[in-house]
Amino acid sequence: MSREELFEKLNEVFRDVFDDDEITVCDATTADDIEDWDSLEHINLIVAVETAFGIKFNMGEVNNFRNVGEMADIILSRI
Amino acid sequence: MEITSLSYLIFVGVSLVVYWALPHKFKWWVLLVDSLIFYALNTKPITLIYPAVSVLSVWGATLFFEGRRNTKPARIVLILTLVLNVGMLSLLKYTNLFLSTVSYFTEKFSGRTIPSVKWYASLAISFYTLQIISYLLDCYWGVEKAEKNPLKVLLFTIYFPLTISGPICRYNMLSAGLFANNSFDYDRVTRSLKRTGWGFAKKLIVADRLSVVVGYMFASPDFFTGPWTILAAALFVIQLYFDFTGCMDIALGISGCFGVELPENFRTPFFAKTVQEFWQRWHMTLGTFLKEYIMYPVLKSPLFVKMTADCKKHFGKKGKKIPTYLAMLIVWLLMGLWHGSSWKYVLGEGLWFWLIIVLGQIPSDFFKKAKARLHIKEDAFLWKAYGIVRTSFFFTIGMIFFNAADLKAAFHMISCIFRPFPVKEGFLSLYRGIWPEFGGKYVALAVLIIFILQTVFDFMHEKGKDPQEAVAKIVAPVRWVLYLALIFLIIFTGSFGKSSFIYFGF
Amino acid sequence: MKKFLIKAVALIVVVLTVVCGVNYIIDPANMFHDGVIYDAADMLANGQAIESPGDFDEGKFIEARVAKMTGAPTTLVEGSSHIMFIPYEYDDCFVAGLSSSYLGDFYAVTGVFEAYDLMPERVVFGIDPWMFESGYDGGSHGSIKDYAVAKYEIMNGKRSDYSGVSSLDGITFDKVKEITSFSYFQLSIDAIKMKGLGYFTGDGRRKAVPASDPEAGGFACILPNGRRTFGSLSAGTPESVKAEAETNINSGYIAHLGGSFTGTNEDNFTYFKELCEDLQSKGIEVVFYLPSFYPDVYDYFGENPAYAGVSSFEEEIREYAASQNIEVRGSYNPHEAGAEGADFYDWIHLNSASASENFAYIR
Repeated sequence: MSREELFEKLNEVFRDVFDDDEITVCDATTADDIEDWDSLEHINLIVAVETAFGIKFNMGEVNNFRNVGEMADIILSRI
Repeated sequence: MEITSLSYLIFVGVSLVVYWALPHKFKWWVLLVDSLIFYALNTKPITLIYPAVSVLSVWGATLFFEGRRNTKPARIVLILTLVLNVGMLSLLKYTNLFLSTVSYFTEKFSGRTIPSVKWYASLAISFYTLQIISYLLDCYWGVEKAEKNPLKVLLFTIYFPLTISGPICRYNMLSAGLFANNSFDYDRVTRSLKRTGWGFAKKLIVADRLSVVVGYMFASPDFFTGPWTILAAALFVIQLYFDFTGCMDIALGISGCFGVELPENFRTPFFAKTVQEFWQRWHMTLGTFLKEYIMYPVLKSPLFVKMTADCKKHFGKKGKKIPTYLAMLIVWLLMGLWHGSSWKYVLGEGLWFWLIIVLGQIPSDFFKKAKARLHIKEDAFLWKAYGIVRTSFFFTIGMIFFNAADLKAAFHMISCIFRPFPVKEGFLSLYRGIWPEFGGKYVALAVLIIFILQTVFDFMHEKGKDPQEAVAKIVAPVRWVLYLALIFLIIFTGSFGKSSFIYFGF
Repeated sequence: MKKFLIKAVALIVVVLTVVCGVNYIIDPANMFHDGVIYDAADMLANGQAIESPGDFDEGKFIEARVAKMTGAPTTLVEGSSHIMFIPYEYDDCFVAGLSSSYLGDFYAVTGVFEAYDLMPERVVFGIDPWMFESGYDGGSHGSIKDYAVAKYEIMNGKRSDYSGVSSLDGITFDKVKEITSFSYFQLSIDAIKMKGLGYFTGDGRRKAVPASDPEAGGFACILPNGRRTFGSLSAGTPESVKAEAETNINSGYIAHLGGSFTGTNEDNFTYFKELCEDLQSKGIEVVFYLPSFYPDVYDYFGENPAYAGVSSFEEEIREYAASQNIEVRGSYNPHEAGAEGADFYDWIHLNSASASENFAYIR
């Protein structure tokens, strides 16, 4: 899977989790950029991403993502 | 050895001289020896066995994890180590709570009570246990590399500026400071000293002096009723804020003198507009710990993931939140329990805030629509002010539980809010009963000065400005006069307890 | 780093100079200027009454007096200011009262007399209800606390004698600690506010002044047998005393008792019983004195359940005394002991003559 394809799929996941069709994510996107992405929704998002790509993050990664770009890197290395 | 005593200052002063005189490779030894001495002077030295056991178990476990990531043996070692450390904390801190609760019921049924045990808890066990568990889990998850030297792990665990009130540090940040080649930086050391001095002012002048009045009012809840109850609670909140942040200033300041940077624990909490935001600004390191090491692992566990999927299926989008609220409940009950071995903490520091947050979350869609209808803008001044007042009020109610003797006393005190307001009697009682012990008008003036200055600093912090920078801009002679003025203000009006030797009066 | 060290040392030197300087010069408790204690003890030992110095370490003063005694008194009276002013009916009676006495001061004073081998035939304890709030080492007078601890340890076989215990040492580590003490500094500042700077820089208060007319003079005095006199200068009228009492009652805070008194600390009360029984086992007679409260104040206790502990504590004391054949003088209840408003010097203390009658009352 190429990085563009991955980001397309990520957009779908984000739009579904946060119920907002206008969301578009890129490498630099962080939780501050998306209104409902707070600590209470973080795990729901993580689980949705895991399900969508058939991979698993470990807790260290879950707690330490700095932006969507880092998340994408890990996904790419796992699929 | 109280941190606000002369002996502690001398202890730190001597340590600093030795620390900066020695070459790099001995520096952390100084910190380790200091921490052991501090521990031994503040508690029965035999209790050092508890952190020793923690350190050995975690050091061994983390080394075991190397090369065995995601294997069953590693998982078993993790669970055993967690059980050992959490078990020690629970046994030492919570046995009496368990016994007294069981005793409450046995008394009702059979009239017999169970006596409490008199065990010696380890100094700072609530702090260092969480801190070392974060290191254990970080190693297990591959975020951190295991430290081979157990003495370094020991220093990480009992580093003395942290022992009294934290902050709870992550290994990567703390070890960077402890073991790095710190060079003497004039600006950093002077900044740290100024911060320490300010911390002393906050604790000795505001917190310790107010505690006299707060104690007096909390001791007679039936006398100080109506608005007096709210005043007592509000004064306690101020006392607690100045005490806790004062201790943080002292801890971070003193650590900064050694070149060891510690994380902030407070971010102007009284600017929070919701209770949820409040706890992201108050005691931040504890909140972060609970979030990253309890809430997230719980929510990501297979049980909770399945629960979320099921709830979404049966109850729709709103239902999806139920497991989240459940995980939050676990976190908040732990938050309450962590504060102390009493049900009043579980209720007042835990359940109460969980309830407020959840009750704010559930109708969030309705609130959004209502705000749109009423044309309320999130960043309108009045709306923000309302949020701040409301949040402070909820926090104050929670703190009544914190300072009341027990659960029953807390509820009783809250009920006293609805009783009449003895204006004259209250003032008279305060004036005759506690005003002299409080210290009189000069102390009151000093308290006011420090309080106002701290409020100004908080406003500056909130706007992203640094008060220390502003102070540094003042001309040197004036600045030094201010430093001396602060030092003497602390000496003149701080609360230093009764002179051990002397008693006066009739 | 050199720049930093110079500034740091300079700052520390400035602060310490001010603090230590003020502490030494003002020295509100005459810790470093204790000549007055020895002068006073000398004069009193020679039978000369003196004007009460006002700022002195009372604990040390007791030991200084005991050190000059040639023989044991027949009766020793211990307690707070409630017992200091009474002309007792006993011959050869020494009044070793200490302001704001607590249990720890009983242990301490008894310890001092025992250390100097001057134990009397009879000890009178003036007991206030709040006295057992702190333990055997919780006296108000820290300078003789070591005697209290030693007395307790000797009673319990943990120590053989009082060797090494003294409050009359010259330079001690505690004194050095005190000269740098911020709380002592605050006391010094308070003392300057109360008496003015001249009082301390002049010579006046470092001397013991002989009293010309102790019984009727203006100033408070100390008599050779330890008894104090009030001095007419600060006496109140029955009306002013009544008003004083009313103000205090209305404040909801009664001096020493606080906002409530529901009973004594049983552990500390046990320490007191042990002390009494220790004295009795040595053939020393023990007497209790319960000084009466001002009538309005005692009535307030009766109406207010928060202070029910006062009368219940009296019964507890009387019960114990009966079981040990200890005489109980006076009563907290002024109506029972015959004390009226006009008998009081202020809202807490009976005047000397009435206190004498109060002491004579036995239920």
